[in-house]
Amino acid sequence: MEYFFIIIGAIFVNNIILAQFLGICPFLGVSSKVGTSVGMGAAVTFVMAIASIAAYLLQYYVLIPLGIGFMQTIVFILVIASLVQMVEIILKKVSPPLYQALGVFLPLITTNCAVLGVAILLVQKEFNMLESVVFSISNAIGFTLAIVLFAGLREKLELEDLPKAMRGVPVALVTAGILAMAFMGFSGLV
Amino acid sequence: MNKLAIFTKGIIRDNPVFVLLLGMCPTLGTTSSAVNGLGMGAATMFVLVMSNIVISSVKNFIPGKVRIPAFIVVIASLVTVLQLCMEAYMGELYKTLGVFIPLIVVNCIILGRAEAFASKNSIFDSALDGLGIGIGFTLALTALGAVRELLGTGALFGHKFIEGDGILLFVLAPGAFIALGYLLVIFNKLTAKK
Amino acid sequence: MESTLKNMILTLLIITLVSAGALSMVFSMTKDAIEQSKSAKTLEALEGVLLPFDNNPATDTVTVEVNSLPIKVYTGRKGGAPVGYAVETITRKGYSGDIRMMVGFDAAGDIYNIEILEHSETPGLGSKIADDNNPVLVSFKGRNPADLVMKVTKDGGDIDVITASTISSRAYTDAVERAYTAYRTVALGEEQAAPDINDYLPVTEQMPDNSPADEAEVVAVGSKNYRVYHGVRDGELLWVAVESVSEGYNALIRMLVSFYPDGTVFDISVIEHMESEDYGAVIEDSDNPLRASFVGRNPGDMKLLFRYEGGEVDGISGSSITSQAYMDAVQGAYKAFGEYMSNR
Repeated sequence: MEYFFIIIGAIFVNNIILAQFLGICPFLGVSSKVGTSVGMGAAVTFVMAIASIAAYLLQYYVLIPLGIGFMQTIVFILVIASLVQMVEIILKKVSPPLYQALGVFLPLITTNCAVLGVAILLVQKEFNMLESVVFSISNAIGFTLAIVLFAGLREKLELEDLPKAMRGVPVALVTAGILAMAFMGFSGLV
Repeated sequence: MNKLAIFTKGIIRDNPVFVLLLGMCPTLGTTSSAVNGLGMGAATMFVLVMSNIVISSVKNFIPGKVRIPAFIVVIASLVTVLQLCMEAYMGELYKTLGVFIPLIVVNCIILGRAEAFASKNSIFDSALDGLGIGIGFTLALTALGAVRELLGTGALFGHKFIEGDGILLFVLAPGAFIALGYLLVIFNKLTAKK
Repeated sequence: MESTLKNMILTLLIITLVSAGALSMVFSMTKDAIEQSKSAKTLEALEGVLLPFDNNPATDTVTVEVNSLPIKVYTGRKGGAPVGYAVETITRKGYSGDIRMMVGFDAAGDIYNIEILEHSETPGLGSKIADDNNPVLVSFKGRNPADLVMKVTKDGGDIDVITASTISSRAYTDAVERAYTAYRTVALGEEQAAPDINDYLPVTEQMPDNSPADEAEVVAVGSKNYRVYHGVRDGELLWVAVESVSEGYNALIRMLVSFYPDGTVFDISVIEHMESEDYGAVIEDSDNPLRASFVGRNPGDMKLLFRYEGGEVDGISGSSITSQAYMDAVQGAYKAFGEYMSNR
């Protein structure tokens, strides 16, 4: 039951993009086509799951035992950055088709604050190992859901005749606002 | 480029939020009131100016290939310093801004300025650049925060101007997107005429 | 600088070491301030929900588990005796996330005050749970959870809801209920069971045909709530007894003041007190001068000042604080009596 709440909460109620404002850059940048946004979502899910395990282990087996909790930010960002590099290298060697699909998105993920944000949040919420993994994957699914829905809307929006000042990001933001409003309907679900 | 231009370009012409569209997460996430926007802007400005100064002063000792990881370590350390100081002396604001304080590390504005400006210019110029961009960012966040607070609660910097409840939507998440969208429209309109 | 392997590793190593050194320096500099600001926050919340104490409740704590959630109970003491308990409680039923709050009980188990420590409810709606005097808080303040149906009015309980925020109000109630369970676990381990009110209710020639102990009503006067009992026979009001609490020399004094329907004091009995033996403790004697000044008279007609101040009340010599508390309690009870009669 606990896990059910975590999952529904992270995907719908506190959607990482639409309610917590994490990962807005890829949300606005890589969401003009449904195809690319699915790729981005998959890459984020992959990295977020691994990063959350790494963050959990680092926090409870390195930072806390050594009494250097204040190094959290610096250690997490370095680990996430190197993790992304490693995933890229390994994927290239082990599974070229998967690399083809996800490769271009991986470098973008280092500066995706959603990954670091989830790592910090799972420590803050004092989740155990399994809860951490469930939490991060649910957030990644929430991320993918929001970005894919949004890409679908933007594809239609491309065809509209808009005032010049409104085109591009401004109208995208207003659309995102309406999408966020729709997601607010989920609050109170859990 | 003269010193004045270095300083002023970040405020309007290259405004990080309204023109470059960088640092969107804290822009949307922390601007439920003008004070919060101002606090987040100031915190980011501190890291930006300091990282520009530090990076510009060590730029000649860093091998090109490890430049980015080195910058990240510097920025992350500065963010941690900020985090510790805020937790100690500004507990309330620290709690309100929450996860967005450590996330200054991944704010593209900071790494962007380190890479594009501080690693090529003198210490003084870099500090000016950081200050200018920082002020531009702070102004944008404060403006967005003020608009949301005024529409959402009828107050500005905590002082109530309009009686009643306000349009609650603007304090909530959707309001952040919508208010920023329309602020951008206004900004585009104004700058296009010039 | 050239990007040789040696150079690269050396630079990164130096940068990391310098950063780590600088950070640990800043950390040790801010450590005390961070801890202080944290404990200051706890202390502030404790001061907000407890009657004045002279110990450090932050170190006088017990942690109990209620529905598998750890709940911390702080004991506030004055002169060693408990003046109340502050319970740091949590609910997972908030509209958007956990709500953490501090619930303060006085020594008698009545809720003194509640403060929200942390919440992320919708601004402008659910966030009102953190406001002073919001309807949910008012439903709890000054009342004993034992006398309440711990559900919101919508679910058939006694707790008012905040308009358009039923879920937040339910969550609040859930947290208070958990706090009460924790309070009972801790407080009852320390105190004797609550005194039976039947031992104190007035004994008149004509016995009431209702059961006064079960028909208590709560009457609010200003920010204070009083429990009011009444005895009826054949539909005629025999007496009204008001339970009144005031702050004595060492701890709270709880007493029962009973009135005839015309406002004349029938009897005053002290239920609980912690006053010093041979001094303030005299108030429990039935022939103490304070009781004698009130019984048989209507406090509304009296000049409620001590004899030496030119009034009509005899104090206990050497125990002016206790005497003042006694008089305050009677005065409060009389106001509650008036309020009760005007609503009857």
